[in-house]
Amino acid sequence: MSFNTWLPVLVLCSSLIPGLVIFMLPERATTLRTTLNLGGALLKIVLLVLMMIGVFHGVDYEFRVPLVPGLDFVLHADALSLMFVNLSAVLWLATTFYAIGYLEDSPNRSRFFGYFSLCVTATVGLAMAGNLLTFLVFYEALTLTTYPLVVHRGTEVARKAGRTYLAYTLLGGVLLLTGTVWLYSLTGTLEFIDRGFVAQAGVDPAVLRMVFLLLILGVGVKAALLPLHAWLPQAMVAPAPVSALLHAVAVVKAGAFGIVRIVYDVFGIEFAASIGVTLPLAMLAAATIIYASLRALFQDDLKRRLAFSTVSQVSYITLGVAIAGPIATIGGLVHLVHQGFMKITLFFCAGNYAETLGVHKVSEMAGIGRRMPWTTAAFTVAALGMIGLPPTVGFISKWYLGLGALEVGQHWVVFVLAGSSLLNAAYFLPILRTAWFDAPPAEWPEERDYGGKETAWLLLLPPLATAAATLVWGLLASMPGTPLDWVQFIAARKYAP
Amino acid sequence: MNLLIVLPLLPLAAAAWLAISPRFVPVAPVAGGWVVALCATFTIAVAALVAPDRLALPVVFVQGNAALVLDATARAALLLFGGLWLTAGLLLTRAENDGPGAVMVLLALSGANTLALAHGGSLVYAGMVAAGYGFYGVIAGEQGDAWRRAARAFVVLLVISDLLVFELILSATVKPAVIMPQGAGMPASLLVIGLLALVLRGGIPPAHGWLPTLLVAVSPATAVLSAAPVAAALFGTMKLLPDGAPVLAVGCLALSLAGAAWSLFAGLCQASARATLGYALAATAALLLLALPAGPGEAAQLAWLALALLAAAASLPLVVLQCAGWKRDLAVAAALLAHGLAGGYAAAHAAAVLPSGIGLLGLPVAVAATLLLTVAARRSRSLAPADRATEAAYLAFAPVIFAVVGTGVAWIASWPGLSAAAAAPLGITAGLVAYRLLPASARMEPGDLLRAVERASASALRVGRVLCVDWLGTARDQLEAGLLALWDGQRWSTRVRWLDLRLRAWPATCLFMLTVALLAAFLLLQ
Amino acid sequence: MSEWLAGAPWMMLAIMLPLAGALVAFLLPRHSALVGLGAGLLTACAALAVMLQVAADGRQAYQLGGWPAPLGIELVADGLSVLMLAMTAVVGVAVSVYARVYLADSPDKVRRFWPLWLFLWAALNALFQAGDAFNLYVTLELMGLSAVALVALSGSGPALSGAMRYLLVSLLGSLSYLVGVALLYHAYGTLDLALLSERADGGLQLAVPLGAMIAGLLLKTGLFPFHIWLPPAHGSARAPVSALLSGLVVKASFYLLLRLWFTFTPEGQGVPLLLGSLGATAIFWGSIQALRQKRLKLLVAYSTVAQLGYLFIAFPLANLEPALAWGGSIYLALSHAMAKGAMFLAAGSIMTQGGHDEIDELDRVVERMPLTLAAFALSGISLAGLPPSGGFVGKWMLLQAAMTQGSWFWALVIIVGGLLTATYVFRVLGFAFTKSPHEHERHDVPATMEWTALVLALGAVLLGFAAPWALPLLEGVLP
Repeated sequence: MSFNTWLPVLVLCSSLIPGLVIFMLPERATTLRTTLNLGGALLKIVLLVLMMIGVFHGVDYEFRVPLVPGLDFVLHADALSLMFVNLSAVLWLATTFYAIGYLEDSPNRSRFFGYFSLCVTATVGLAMAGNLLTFLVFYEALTLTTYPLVVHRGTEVARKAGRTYLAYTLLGGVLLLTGTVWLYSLTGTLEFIDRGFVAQAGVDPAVLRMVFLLLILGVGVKAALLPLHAWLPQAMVAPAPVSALLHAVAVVKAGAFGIVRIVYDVFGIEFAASIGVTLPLAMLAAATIIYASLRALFQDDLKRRLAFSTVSQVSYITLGVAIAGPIATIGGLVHLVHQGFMKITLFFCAGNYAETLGVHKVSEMAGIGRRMPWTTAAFTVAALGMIGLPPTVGFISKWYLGLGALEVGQHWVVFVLAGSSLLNAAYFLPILRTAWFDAPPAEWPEERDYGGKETAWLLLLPPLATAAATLVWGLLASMPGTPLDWVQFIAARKYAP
Repeated sequence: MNLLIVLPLLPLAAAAWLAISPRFVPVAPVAGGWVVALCATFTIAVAALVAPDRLALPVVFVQGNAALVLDATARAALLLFGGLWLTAGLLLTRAENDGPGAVMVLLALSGANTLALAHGGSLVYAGMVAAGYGFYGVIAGEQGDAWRRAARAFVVLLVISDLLVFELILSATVKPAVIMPQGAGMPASLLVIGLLALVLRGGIPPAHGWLPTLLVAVSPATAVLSAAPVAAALFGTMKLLPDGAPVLAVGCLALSLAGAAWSLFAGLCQASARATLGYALAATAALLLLALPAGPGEAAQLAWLALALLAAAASLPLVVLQCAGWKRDLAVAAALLAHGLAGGYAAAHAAAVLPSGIGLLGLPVAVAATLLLTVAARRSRSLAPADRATEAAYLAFAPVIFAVVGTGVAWIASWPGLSAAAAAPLGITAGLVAYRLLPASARMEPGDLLRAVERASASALRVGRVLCVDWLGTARDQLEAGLLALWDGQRWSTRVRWLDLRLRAWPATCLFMLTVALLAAFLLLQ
Repeated sequence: MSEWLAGAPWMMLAIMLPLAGALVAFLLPRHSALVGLGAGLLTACAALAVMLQVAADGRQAYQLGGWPAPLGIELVADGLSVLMLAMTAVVGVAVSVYARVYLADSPDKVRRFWPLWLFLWAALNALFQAGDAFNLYVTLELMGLSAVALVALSGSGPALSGAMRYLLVSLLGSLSYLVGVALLYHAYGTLDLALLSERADGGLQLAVPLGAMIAGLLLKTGLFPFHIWLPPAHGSARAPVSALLSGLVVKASFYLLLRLWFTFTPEGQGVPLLLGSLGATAIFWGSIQALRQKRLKLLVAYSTVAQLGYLFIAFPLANLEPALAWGGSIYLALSHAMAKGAMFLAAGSIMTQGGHDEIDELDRVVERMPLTLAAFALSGISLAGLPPSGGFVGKWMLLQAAMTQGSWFWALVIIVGGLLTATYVFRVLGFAFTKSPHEHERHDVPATMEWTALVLALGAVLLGFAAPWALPLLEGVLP
């Protein structure tokens, strides 16, 4: 029972214990609650840095207890899980700052932050899952911990949105469970191994295709693949920090991460390509990209437009994963990180507009750049990143995706990328033009006075920080230490040398 | 610190200072123009005085081949951009000028400088994107609403062109060198993509509709800067296709001839000077397209020619600020002469890669461009009152000087032969004659086909909306609502209750019990 | 430790202590709550001791008064009995603590509740340790009678009619069981289970009594279509009583069925298929009914009907992988006991708080009673089979058994059942977070009630991690 065994559990506990304690705190204990939140977040980042150094030098961190006869509950930190855990931890820190500012004077903050911490615990556990069973456990736990956040406001609309959310995610969980049990009965193991474990079992490919379908549909609900994406726009009724967390970090990325794990560490990309499941997956991802972008074009509500944009962008990851080439893998995996940062910036800015000026729709955003220039600047950077323009990180992901597709001869993917960029430009550029260059209205719908400042500091700094990261990592992409660097380290191990 | 990195960063820093400082220190609006002029002067100084240099930037973007290079092409580009921005800046300092904000102008300058110096696929792409969007920002900063149509058309073409450039640099990276023999250059498909991108963003007919529409609607500063997108497109394409596109020379000739003819026809039918200038710029762009397949030339003469042609065209909006007199006539004459000589050289340059019989067909394009420019100059009525005219008179010389420099450097560096000089007198004379002969009644809307294209794309968008939102989206939403209604739907509830009551009666229970007991016994016997 | 454990006859004590406690509570009505609680704790300790003994030394037997079988009464404790004893102990202690506070303001109910409850506990412990068929009948009867009395305790109209129906149904089932016992004795001359398992060899003389016994036990367990008594009884009884009924009493008759099955191990696929189909129908019927309900306690009662179906799905799956199928079913029974107990306790707290238990009028009860709602949610998670919980482990094992055999139908039944369970649980939770347009009264709920429910629900969740210790106990038991 060494430190190496307990470090993954400690990382989990660094948000679990503060979460449980926060549930018990009375509403007025603001300082204590803030301290617990931020303390937990910072502790988690410290522990993760330790882990990263260890993994880079080849240390093995694993925690294993038996759960059901024949299978263990395994927490294992490898390079891929560390990438996702780091993303979650950093963005959790940013969202915590933001949520503290956003929910000032709102009721039920203890409950909110408690579930918030539990949600991050579930995400981190999912990232560090070492076999499909543990992954399933945390996948369902994620559904359960995010549900109270969606219905937080307590209105009838929130209840209905929560109902839809649950219907979809529970369905996904059930499909994943079926696929997992079936796979276990066929292969006798569920451990994640680089390049997959299914190939050795010698099972009939037709059966494996069915299993793959079940597994992908199961995680695809959270990853918002067509046609299981409809819960995402409806979950926008939740408060802005929840939307930011759900759409950049926790739920959607968990689904995409699940697809990554299934394709690379369960089936193995080369084996999956040989049984012919990667091409349909790529086509489904492409259809999602285009359909969601088209839907986004016609939305007036800002958060709904961003929701459809998320559906579209997360399928880039799926597309990168499904194209069986090392460079496309890099593109898909690095887009996981990049899209997280860009989308969270957009949602933070949308929350700022709603909170400061009561602006919820794109048609109300005329001239908002003059009233809130810093927020709109962050929004601009993130939006340009979504379109895929340099010097933002969006360009880097698109580059690798396109290059990877051309490398293996799948030319149609580049058309899909081009079409999607065109649609992204079509629904983001008008917002930017309206925000910066149109005349502002005489009066905003519900303006809050911040005493001459643009908005509260806690609301302003997180989007600026994430937008700055978007710019810096996009400009200096070839520097060691960027997400791109780490992803290249990961992707090399997924292919036979 | 290497001066090359300062060139893109200085206007950015100045723009940031201008944007942030008014919150702390009130800054007079005209100061913005002086800042622009200062940055532009710095650009010109570096272009003129600094020795050829290269700054490698391996950490920037991908592939590690990004660099900032100051060679002859970059010099010409920097001089062009510097000159245009200097003029625009000085125009902005005039108090009655209701032009774009200095911040956007500085951002556009930064993008243009990056493009001028860029080397390596991704950095060139970044420069083209920055320059394009920067120019859009300059247009959008105009007062009123007249600029919207042109700006919308421009940005749509810009976005499509960006995608094509992206495809180009991706494909160029992928094609391994082992497949193509040395010196074979790029495959024809990539060259087509590159030139298509140039056509879409450079205002070359048939994608020229935004240019006259724009020029009619904007302030003098933006009108001067309108040569910048054409320049950016050309310089970017030159960097992406460093060996030119010799295999496509005939196609380019055909396209530029058609374009020049159309511009000529439409341009002569215009009412205002600015609209004619727009068509003149379109014809100039067609001329540059013609010259491109031959490559930049040994002394980078294509770059200097572009400098000359575009600077001359950019000087036309300033003519209206001068009152009639020798200064005005000198400026116009110098501009037209520079344009004509440069045009002729460009045609001769193009003839180098064309089959010998049709090489001469480049000359009409040059003549058409200069013709239109002359007509535009003649249609420019002076608007300036006598006292303000003095400073404007000198202002107009700024782009003219650059045009003359460009022509001079190109001609002196590599002598094309006297036949190339034929375009200038032919064009100017034809222009003067055409102006005299034109009837007053033939008028056409600037932007000709733009309205038709707009209507077609709007109906396409409507079809897409109906298909996606109204049909697919609604159908899917209805299916989902129907399925979810099972969650707390009441319709099946009454039927279930009826069944439940039946099942819970005593007779039913006794019957079941007997059945189960007998069945169990029977099955156990098996 | 084995020597220290062998010091006292723990198996005997587990039955005698609650009996004695019941007597004392009856004789001292004013202190009946304290006596009841103390006796309950002591009984739990005794049950724990039995479990430790069996875990260390294997199957234990104890002869009452030193008389050996077939004349005397022999108590037998193996892995299965011990698990059931432990389940009873945990749920029993929690319900006792809860009931003490819940019934604090109605003293006449208090003095009747404790004797009856302890009597029920004694009957349960005796049933789990009984070694022959007749003893099983006696303890079954005792248990049934005390359960009926507990249902009638609240004295309201629906409670009385529910109790009456329960009584009649229970008697019918017992009658059928007794007929079976009599026929068995006539055929084989003994009622001791171990001897019967050696002598029985199939044929009509085994089939008829077994059939009668199975039918009777199904009636008492409340499997579809014999569930008619369950919703009225469990829905109208007081909260702690409902917890006991759903958690423990129905498990007792199921345990009996399992015992008979393991003793006689009938071959042939007919009866397992019959039982499995009845179980599948129970799952669907119960879940659909639960979705329809407007009252919380009735919803939980129908949920019991549905969950009982799961227990019977193990029958058709026990061919190829008996350890997995039976282990899963038993694990499901254990976690259902704790989860359903917690759910009923939570429902009781909600009813105390608001004076009603209408589901769509819950009016943001999560703000006033977060612990109770947490208990409800956690127990719902276990019932729906969502990880990490005991219900998940049980379902996983059943699913694995189904997949290994290739029986698609049962796997589908299990999965769809889980989905339906989650549906109605989360329906309640959704309303618990939502504001209702009407005004409702608000009472204070003692913290003990909330915490008991939460601890029991946490137990159900923690059972998910206890499988490596619990399942090996079943090794000698399963065929």
